Amino acid sequence: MIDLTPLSLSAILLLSGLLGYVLLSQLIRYLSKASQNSNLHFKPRLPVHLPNHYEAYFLVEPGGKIAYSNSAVKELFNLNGGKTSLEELASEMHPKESFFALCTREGKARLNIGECLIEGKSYRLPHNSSPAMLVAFRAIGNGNISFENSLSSSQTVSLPAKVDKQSLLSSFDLASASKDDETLDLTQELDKKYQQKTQQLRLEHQRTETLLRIMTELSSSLDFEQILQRTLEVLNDVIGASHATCMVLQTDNRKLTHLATVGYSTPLPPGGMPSALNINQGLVGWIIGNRKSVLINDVLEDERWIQLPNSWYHHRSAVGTPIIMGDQLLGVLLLYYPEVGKFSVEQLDLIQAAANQMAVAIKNAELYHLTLNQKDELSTLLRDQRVETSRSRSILEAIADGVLVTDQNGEITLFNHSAERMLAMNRAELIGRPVDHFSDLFDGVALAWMETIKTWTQDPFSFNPMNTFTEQVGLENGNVLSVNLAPVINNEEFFGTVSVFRDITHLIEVDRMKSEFVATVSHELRTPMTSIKGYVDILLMGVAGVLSDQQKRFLEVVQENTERLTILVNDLLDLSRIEAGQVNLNLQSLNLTELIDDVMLEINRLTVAENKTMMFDIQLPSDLPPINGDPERIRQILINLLGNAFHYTLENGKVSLSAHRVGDEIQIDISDNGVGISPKEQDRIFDRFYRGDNHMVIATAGTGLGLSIVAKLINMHHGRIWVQSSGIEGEGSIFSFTLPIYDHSKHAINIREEYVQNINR
Amino acid sequence: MFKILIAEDERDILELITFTLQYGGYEVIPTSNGLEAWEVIRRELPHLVLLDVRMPGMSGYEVCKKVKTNPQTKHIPVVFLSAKGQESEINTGYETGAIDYILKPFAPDQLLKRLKELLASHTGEEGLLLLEN
Repeated sequence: MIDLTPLSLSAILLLSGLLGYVLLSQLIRYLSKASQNSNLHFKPRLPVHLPNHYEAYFLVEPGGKIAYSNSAVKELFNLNGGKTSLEELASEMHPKESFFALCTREGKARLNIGECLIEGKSYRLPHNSSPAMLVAFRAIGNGNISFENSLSSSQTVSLPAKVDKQSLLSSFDLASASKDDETLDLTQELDKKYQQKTQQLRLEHQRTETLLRIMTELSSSLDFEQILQRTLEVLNDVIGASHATCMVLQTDNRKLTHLATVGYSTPLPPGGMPSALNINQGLVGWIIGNRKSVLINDVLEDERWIQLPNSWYHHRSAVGTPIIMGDQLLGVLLLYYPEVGKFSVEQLDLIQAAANQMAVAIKNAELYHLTLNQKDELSTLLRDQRVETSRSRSILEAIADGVLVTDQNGEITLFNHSAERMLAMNRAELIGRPVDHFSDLFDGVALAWMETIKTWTQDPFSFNPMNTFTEQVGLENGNVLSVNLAPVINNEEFFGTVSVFRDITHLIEVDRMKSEFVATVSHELRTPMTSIKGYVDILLMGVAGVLSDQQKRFLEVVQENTERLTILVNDLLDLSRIEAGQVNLNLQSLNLTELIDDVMLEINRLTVAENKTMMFDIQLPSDLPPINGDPERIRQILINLLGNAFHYTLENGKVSLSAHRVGDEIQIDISDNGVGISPKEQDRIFDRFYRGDNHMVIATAGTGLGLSIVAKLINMHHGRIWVQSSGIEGEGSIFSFTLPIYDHSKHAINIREEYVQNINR
Repeated sequence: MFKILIAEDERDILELITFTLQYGGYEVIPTSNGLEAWEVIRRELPHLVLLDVRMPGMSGYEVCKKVKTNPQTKHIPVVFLSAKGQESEINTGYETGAIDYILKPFAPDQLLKRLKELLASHTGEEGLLLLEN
């Protein structure tokens, strides 16, 4: 290197033009190399590009004023000398007119721009100067320069007059050969710039290549954690951080998990490791909160940094970026280095680009896992359903009842072992066939059963839940089956029908035996009682001789107890017959008023017999419609209820009976002012043998069967019975029951049919 | 005097009924089984027959059927006096042709009252004449 000697002012002036040219040619050399790779020297967002090799340029406003010129122009034309208009510039050009005309030619060559970016610097034109013209120059040797305006017409003009052509040329030669210090400095500076540009290009290339590798890694596998790990490694190969981590936000958005790391001594467990920090803490918290990248030269001087206690790592530099997909934050990418100032903006760019790719991968993995989970759930569901189906089938096979199932088409799909045994049929002959096969097996009941299955199969909506099919079927071997048929409907969808067969031969036999027993007991008890009662009555009548008072009193005790025994036997038999369904009601139109008059005769006899005064208040409306009932049974009901009221009310008490119409029924209320029934006893008084523990009840002969029989008889009449009582002695109780009103229209049809039948006989 | 035939296999009860009816002023023909009863009915032609249902040899139902199907006896009213109180049993009694079915145990005075009513309504002019006497 040659020491720089101070140059005289005159020398500077002399050389200014020459230097300008040298600078220009150096620029040309440098830029022509660079531009082979890319247009780095200009990054104009212009709709027009500078023609190749034109490096010096200025922008001209419509009035001819130079709006902007680059440094090359300033050197070349000595613009620093105060020349600010084209006219002044043109005065130094040869031929002057040609240069000026070209530079200012009006026309349609408008750039239509408000802004241009030149050498990385944004340049904004004055607001009204948009119809500007761009004029560019290049050196073409021998002292001339070529220039071109934005209309693309080229022209060659000579150098400024001040600069001697020859000296310029020789100066150029000299400059390339001499060891002029200043020139050398400039050259070195330019070389450095060139190196920088080359480095920039190399980085650009590397960045592209890294992203390509990242994308390849991200699409190489379906193991999400492995993907992230490999991607982070690839990224860090380029960045060269000491530690790197990829943290992903958990589905609840409350915690971060390290899913991939580089440089840490302990490998991550499967499923990652939860972050020690909350999502609103530290640097990570800032990145998440602001959704922005950070580039920190020294974390120790950054207040967002939280140094974890017990941390083995001593990070100084840090770079981090959020992983974002759309507007959803998925995680954070962070890289560290133990020395200050490790990371550059360019590296941050690359990390951000990698984060974008990772976001896509994380989203894809989420979708993949979602699909996978749904597939698992579906297969579990299917397996459960299969298990459930086979279990239901096993249960149906195992139960003792015969089961026959038909499908939507009325074909038999299930015929279990019990059904095979009961009906003596082989399932192999039945499965997949319609139920018609049974037609020659059963009597008429089977036909009704098959028809019902057919009807429901053809029109499932014909099924009425109130109207299920239950019948008894007698088999040829003497066995009796009950058939219960129901449609299988789920969510209003008809799946078929199910018939349940139960062998009730034994039940019927037991029922018959019970009836026989009742009949026998009835006879066997009544026979001895006939003798006892008969002879005691005869004795008391005095027809077998005169009795002493004492004899008469003793015999009366026998008579009373025989009476109790008779009532007990009658009640027991009555109840057992009602419960066995052996009591048939002789329903007919009944005038309640007449019936109650008759009943009251009986009650009066009772009051006389027991010598107990009681007031009876009977209130019946004159227009009371007739009821539909069995006269004997209604009589029994009324005598029982009135008898109870009479017995459980103190002498000189009051028993009331009233009736009124409620809808299609008559409600009859029987109230007294007797002992009443405590609320806790009211639920049980209709139970068999329940009598309550009131002293008056205990003192009165009774079996505890009366109300039970009454309730059953009322029920058989489709009526209801209930009781109201405070349970306080003297307030008594009210027994109410309902009976249906006799429907003339229904009965008229029956009479008519009967009449027709009689005529036909 | 009305002539009433009784068929009853229980000795105690037969005696009780006989006593009661005699007390009521009737001529009583007691028999202790169905077969005997049917023979006596054909021979004596009583004004009324009072039958137990369950008897050895021939049941009360059978006796009643015979009475009701024989032209010579079919006018004689038959009444059952039985401990069999099932609805079906009572119905069978009426179906065989009886005019009443009285359930045991019975009150003697009630039995007399009932028989008097039945005789009045089922024996025509002769019956009314006899009752008046």
